[in-house]
Amino acid sequence: MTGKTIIMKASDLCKSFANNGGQNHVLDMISLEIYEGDFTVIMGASGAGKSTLLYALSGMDQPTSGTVCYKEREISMLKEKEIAALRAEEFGFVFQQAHLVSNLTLFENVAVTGYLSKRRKEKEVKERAKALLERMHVEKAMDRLPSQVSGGEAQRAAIARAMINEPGMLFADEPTGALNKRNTQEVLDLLTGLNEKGQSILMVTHDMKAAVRATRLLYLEDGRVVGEMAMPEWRKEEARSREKQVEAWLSSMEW
Amino acid sequence: MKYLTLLRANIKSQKGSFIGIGALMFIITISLFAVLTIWKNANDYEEQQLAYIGYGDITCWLTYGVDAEELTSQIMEIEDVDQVREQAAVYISKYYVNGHEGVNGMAQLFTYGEEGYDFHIYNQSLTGIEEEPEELSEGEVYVSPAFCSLYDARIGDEFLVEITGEEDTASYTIKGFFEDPASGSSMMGIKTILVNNVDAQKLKERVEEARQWDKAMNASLLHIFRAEDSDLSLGKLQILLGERTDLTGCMEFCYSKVSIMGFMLVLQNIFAGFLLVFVVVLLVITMVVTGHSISSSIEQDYVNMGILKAVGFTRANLMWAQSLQYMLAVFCGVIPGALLSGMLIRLFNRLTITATGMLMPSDLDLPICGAAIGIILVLLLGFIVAKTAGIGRVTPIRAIRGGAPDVYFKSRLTTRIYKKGLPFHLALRALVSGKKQYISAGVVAVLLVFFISLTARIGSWLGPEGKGLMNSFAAGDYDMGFGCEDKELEKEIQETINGNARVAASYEFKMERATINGFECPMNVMSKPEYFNVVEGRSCKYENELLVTDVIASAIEVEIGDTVVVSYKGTDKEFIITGIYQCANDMGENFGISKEGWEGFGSEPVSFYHHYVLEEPSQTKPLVELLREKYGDRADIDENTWSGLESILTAMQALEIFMYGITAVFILVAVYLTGSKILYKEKHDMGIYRSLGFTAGKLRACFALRFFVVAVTGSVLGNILSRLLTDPMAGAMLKMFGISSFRSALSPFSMILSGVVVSGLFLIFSYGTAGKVKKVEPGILIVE
Repeated sequence: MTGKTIIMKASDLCKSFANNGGQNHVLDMISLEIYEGDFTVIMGASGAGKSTLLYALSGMDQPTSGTVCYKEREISMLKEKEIAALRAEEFGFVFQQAHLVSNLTLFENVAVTGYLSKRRKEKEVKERAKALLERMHVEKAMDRLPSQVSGGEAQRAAIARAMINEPGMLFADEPTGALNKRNTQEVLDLLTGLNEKGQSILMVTHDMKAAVRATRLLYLEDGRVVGEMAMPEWRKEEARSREKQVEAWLSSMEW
Repeated sequence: MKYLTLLRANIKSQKGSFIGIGALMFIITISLFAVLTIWKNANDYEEQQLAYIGYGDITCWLTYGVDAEELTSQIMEIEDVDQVREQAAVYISKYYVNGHEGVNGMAQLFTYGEEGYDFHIYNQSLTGIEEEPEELSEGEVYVSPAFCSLYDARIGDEFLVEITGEEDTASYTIKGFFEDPASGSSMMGIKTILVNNVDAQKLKERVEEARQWDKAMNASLLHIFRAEDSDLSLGKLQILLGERTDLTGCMEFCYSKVSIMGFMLVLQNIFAGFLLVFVVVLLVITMVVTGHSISSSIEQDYVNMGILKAVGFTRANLMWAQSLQYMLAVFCGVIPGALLSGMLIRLFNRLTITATGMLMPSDLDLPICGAAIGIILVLLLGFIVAKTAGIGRVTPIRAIRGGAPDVYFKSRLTTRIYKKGLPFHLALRALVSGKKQYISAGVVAVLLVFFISLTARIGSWLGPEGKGLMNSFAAGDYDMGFGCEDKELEKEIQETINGNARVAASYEFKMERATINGFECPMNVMSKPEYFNVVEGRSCKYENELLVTDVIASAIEVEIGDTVVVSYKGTDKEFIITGIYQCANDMGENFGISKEGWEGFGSEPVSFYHHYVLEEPSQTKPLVELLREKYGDRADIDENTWSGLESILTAMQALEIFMYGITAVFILVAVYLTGSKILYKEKHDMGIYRSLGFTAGKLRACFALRFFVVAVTGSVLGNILSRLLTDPMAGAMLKMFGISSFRSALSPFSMILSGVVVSGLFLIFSYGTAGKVKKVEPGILIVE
């Protein structure tokens, strides 16, 4: 026990696909807990099942068997409306690509997500969307369409969108995968900053620079969690030593 | 082989478009073939059969006691006349079928088997002509199949004629039905009855003995045949006959072959013209929808096409594969449509025999249908090839980079997005961003609402009881009228009318035959000429003024202000034309004068009909029933209706139902074709929305709302178009039938109804099409 509050819990999670008459187990009886306020990073080789685990935990995909509970609610049992409400109110999602709605401006992409929440009035949503976009340093591009901004600006707007409803859990799937070095750094700083303010984050990555931001690392191999490492909160001046620490851990995992 | 492989793959991946375009072309082909064949066959067959029963280019119904031989020799002196033949007949003004009184016209009894005048007899099921029909025995008659729809007549029913009155009748049994191309249609007032020669002789003797010519009259018809080398029009020949012979004073009335055909085929011609325009509208819709489908398919298949180009396929190869695919879909609709159209035509002809009185041939008119479908196919091929030209823009490199994603550039026209009514605002935004994609749906809505609204406007002009049409045929508007010789009785009936209904207006009316500048036609006489339906100029206030219809004005080449000579009962008088008025009676060939003008001929006083306009038209029926019950045996009680009205109203209702049905199918196909392509393109955005917390239901509603907004906008435009175009379009069509003034009005409810139906159908079908959204999971955003 860590003494932390469990925000998410998976039990005996399986995800299988039919393959040439047999079964291919992408997730193989995974049981794990995610703690509130943690910056949890899932790592593993390609095809280890990292993204599949992330989507199963976030309710974006249905596991073949097993259960996922968010704040003690089993999400696999929820009806379509309830899962939609959960996505709108409790979960934020950042994809590898920005995945912004193409005919809405960056501001509208963020605001529309805010409008889905019953907690805030329109005026409040607009103010918050503007503030978030400013915080993500894309205020100058907020009236532009996704096709008119850079990948980094789009991804930062996507983070703002994920944060608009103050989600209990922020899921990020390789959020820097499609970005250049400068934009990667900016996005990671933003995520770290959010975590420092108490935001729970669950991120999948195979980028060392992203992994070192974690407070907890999980290693996935052949659909199973085979390793785990806790880390202190991120400090920029410790970046190099954390990198070495993670590298050593990953070596021990035969990465 | 390479085309076959591509074709197979394309059809497999775009089954929906393939079936949709096929379905639209099926409806177009079957309707087009049916309309063209019914119209062409009816006109050809009618002309053929008029000649078969011995009718001439001009037929005159002579009055009693005319020396037909003398008249014939006068007519034969005209070099433009080739032949004149006389046909004996007995005119009967009152007859009963199966207990129902014959409406709106006389019956003419011909002798069946008279040499030179042959008739086709139908088999019992009215599905064909008897090869060897049975002879008529004494007491038997053959009647028109129109009697089935008019009086529910069946074989074995009684046909009764009045010779002098209710006490003096002759009764016959209906043996069967015959083909009467001259007066067989339920639209015609006059009806022909075939009797046995012994009965004909007996009847003539009784009529001769009774000598009450207004009830029954022994007379004959003169069939006048124009010389083959004559270049006179039938109208001109008719004027010449009036000028050079004594014909005008010797006849009841006179019609040209063209007029008879016009009367007989009024129903087919009106509705064929109407449906032909509808088919053209449907063709435009099909082209719009197909065009959109092709453009979207190219976008959808961008990657595949790029790959195919990379492996060596040329632009021409791909264009032909696409064009072939769409043309194959077109043919898949055209071929069954063409094959089944024969069945539809047969069915239509069988069902309408009791209205048209004739069993029209059902053989497809291959030259016309072939030419029409040929033009359509060439048009479609050109259109499809032009549309597939977009394949030229597909490059392998762009395909490898993921095709041609939608890039929305900020347009000047944008909509704001609010929390309240979020799905509606998102729908509006999608519409504004992807305007082009919804143009086809918009055009479909505009055209369909335009056509439905046009039909509704004509329907509303007709009115539930055909009042509009009836008023077009009458010289002045009226609900009911009566006529009687007895002045005391006349006063009594007037008192009964005033005591049982609120009268808005009344006037005296009489229709006589006269010639105007030598042209023989009905002359409408009215005591209050201000009640004539004047459409141009002013009414005939003074006794030396008259009104003509558009048809007469062009037939005798006169206009307002001209002086014309009217010959009536041997007296000639000059009149000034003061206006054009509307009266479709006798296909619009008539003119109107005031009672004072008529009195100027020095005619003996005769009784006039009394026409009434009631404040409450719904009072007409009970009032007419009451009057018929009280005075039916002593006076003519007339309701402003005619025998063919019911057929027109039924056909109009059937047409409206048919159009709503076809509209529903077209909207379904158009929405499916357009919607599924848009959905495919927006799959990614749908996945994003679902990952953000939108339910499938909300997204479906948002999607359906876009089509709804397009349909509502289209409906408004369609209604405006119909407001602007119905009167000139319908007016031009109805002018052929003597109705020169057509002014439609639509109640706000009816105006909204077509829009509500079309928009509702768009909403329902697009919501149904968007069912695919349920299958779109946020998982599509996952990149493993």
